[in-house]
Amino acid sequence: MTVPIDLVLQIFIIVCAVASIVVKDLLSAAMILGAYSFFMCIMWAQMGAVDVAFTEASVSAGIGTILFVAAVMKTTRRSKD
Amino acid sequence: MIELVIAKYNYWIYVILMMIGFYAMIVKTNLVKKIIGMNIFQTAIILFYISTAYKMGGATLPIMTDAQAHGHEAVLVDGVINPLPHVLMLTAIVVMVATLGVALAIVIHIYRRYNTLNEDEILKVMK
Amino acid sequence: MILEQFPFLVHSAPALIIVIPLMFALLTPVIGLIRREWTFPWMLLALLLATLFSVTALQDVMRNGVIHYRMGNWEPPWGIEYVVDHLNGLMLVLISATALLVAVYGKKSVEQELPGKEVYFRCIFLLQVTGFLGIVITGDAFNLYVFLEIASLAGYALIAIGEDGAPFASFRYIIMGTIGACFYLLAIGYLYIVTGSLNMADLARLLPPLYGSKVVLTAFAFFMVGIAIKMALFPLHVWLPDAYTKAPSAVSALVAPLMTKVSVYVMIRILFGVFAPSFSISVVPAMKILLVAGIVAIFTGAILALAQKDFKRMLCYIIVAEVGYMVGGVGLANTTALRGAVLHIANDVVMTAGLFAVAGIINYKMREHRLDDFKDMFKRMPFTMAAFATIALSIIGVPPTGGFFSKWYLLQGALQEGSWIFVAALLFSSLVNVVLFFRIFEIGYGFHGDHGHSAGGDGGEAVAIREAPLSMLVPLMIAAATIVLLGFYNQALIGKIIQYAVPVL
Repeated sequence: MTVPIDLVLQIFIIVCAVASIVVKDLLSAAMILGAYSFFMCIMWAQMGAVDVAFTEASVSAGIGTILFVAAVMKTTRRSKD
Repeated sequence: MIELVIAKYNYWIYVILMMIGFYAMIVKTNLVKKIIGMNIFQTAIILFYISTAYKMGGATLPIMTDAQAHGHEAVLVDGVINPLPHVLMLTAIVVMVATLGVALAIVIHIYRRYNTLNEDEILKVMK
Repeated sequence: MILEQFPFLVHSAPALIIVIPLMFALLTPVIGLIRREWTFPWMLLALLLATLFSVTALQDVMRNGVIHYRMGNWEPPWGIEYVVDHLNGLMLVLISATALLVAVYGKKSVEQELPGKEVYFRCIFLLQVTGFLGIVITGDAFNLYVFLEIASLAGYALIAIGEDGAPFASFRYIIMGTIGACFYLLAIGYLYIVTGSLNMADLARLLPPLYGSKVVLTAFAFFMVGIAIKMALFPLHVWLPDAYTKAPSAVSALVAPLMTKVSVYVMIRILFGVFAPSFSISVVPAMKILLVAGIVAIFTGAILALAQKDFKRMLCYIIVAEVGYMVGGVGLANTTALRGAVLHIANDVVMTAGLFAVAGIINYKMREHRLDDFKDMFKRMPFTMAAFATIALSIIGVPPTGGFFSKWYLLQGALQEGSWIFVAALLFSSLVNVVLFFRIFEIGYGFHGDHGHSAGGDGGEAVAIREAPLSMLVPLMIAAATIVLLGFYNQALIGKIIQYAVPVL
């Protein structure tokens, strides 16, 4: 039987979301958030929203991750919780 | 009951994601983690809108190939997915990244002043 | 007025009200690159044109009825439509006139508090005014979300450039404000699923058969909570004192009168425009909940305002109480109380703008805005304090200023409904306002000999008059004069505009 791709994707999305807020290193959290955005983008493409998919990829996964990394570089990488 | 969960799992996932983001915004004391939570919260809402537009059972994208040839032809709505929420979500994604930019700029400002990104320590300094 | 010579301009006034501040805002940094001083007349020109078109739109509505402006000539529900009716027109005039006055007022204040950043300040100022104007003029629910976010983002940026502690206050405001806006977006999503339309008038037509369904109830709940966060209704008001106290003076004078009142307008629009009034009264006991929330807001705002030593923070808690008046007035759900609530919106915009203008003048002179800074102010700045006394009398509710009449209508509405607790809340709040403002009058007349510091004043009998600069004083006097005029002409205002703005319940 074919793998229900969207269910697998959604499990990955939840794992990424939980991981990005649990990890103590802020740079890793920003990277995992970028991975979360890319998984979201693939799910939009699977659901037929191709325009939303490439907007999310370029804007949220691309520029959003750049903004996060820039902010973490200018502040601090450590986080207490 | 069980088919309620299985048939509409998209909506369950969106609620779980929204609550994860909400939890991060409220409970985490690091400011950047709060912003990450805000991002997850807003993308969950986008997931909600897109899943309302999707139709199972072989629905395709609304691309009309032979409209010019045959003129006005009725389109069977069951075969195409609804494109309006996609357009609304383009706006929502842009708003999300704009809010992200403003919030991160303010976080850099806060760090320069207080030298910490932990909300409890900032409140202690402000008292 | 003069614009009637050009029927094309009158016809497209709803679009021009939004487009003009937006285009001028985007061109402001370009003008600032050429010559920095030109940005101030540029901003004034934008706001003057917006005010002119708003007044034209209101006159058109009063003469010809509701205006429907279709963007791009697309029929709703496929296109976005801008609807100007009496409630809208009143809010448009209030917003653009207040923005114009605050822009004139803010010139000296911004030069002192934010040196070197005036060009960007004026650009974001115009963007925020665009956002506010867009919220009130649009007739499409999703378009309202877009303008709500434009106004909120500009507000976050403007508040963050204030004094020490302002970025953190703005960050907390971002977290809470984003939750509010996202709840509003969720509510629109739920309504769109069941009706298939985003236009407010269309939703009002399509929703009544669906009132029993859980989706509509969920959407209503999300609407109310989201708007309550934006409105600073107790207990979701915690972002307001810090954010408005630490913002720069010109920003407080713009955002404080407008943001919460525009959110009250959105609530009135949803409760009576999208959902029928019978929904909020009989299907869901929303009116009772709003009444209780309003009463609690009035009590907590009044009590917390008594405890403050900082003048601006005290004003912020007075805002929380005023929002309680309006929400309680809507919650009473009868015609007199609704008219009182809308009249109170008009009065409160003018009063709050005036009070924050006074706070800004005190900040300009004394570099701080505590209550002790008012010492000997009546001798040193007689005109400022005369205007302040007028506005204070209006907040207390003394005739013939406008505040008395809106409280009068709210009291009448409460008595008709038999809601004695609301009457008690109104009277308690008026008494607390008496204590608050007469305390300032005492300090201002110098009855307390050993309080505070007197920077710049001679210790002897004759204290020199050092008035505020004219560009800061004239908008304040205009605000004080307007509040007295609103009191004198409140019958005309209710009879010609407000009576048609609210439904008869």
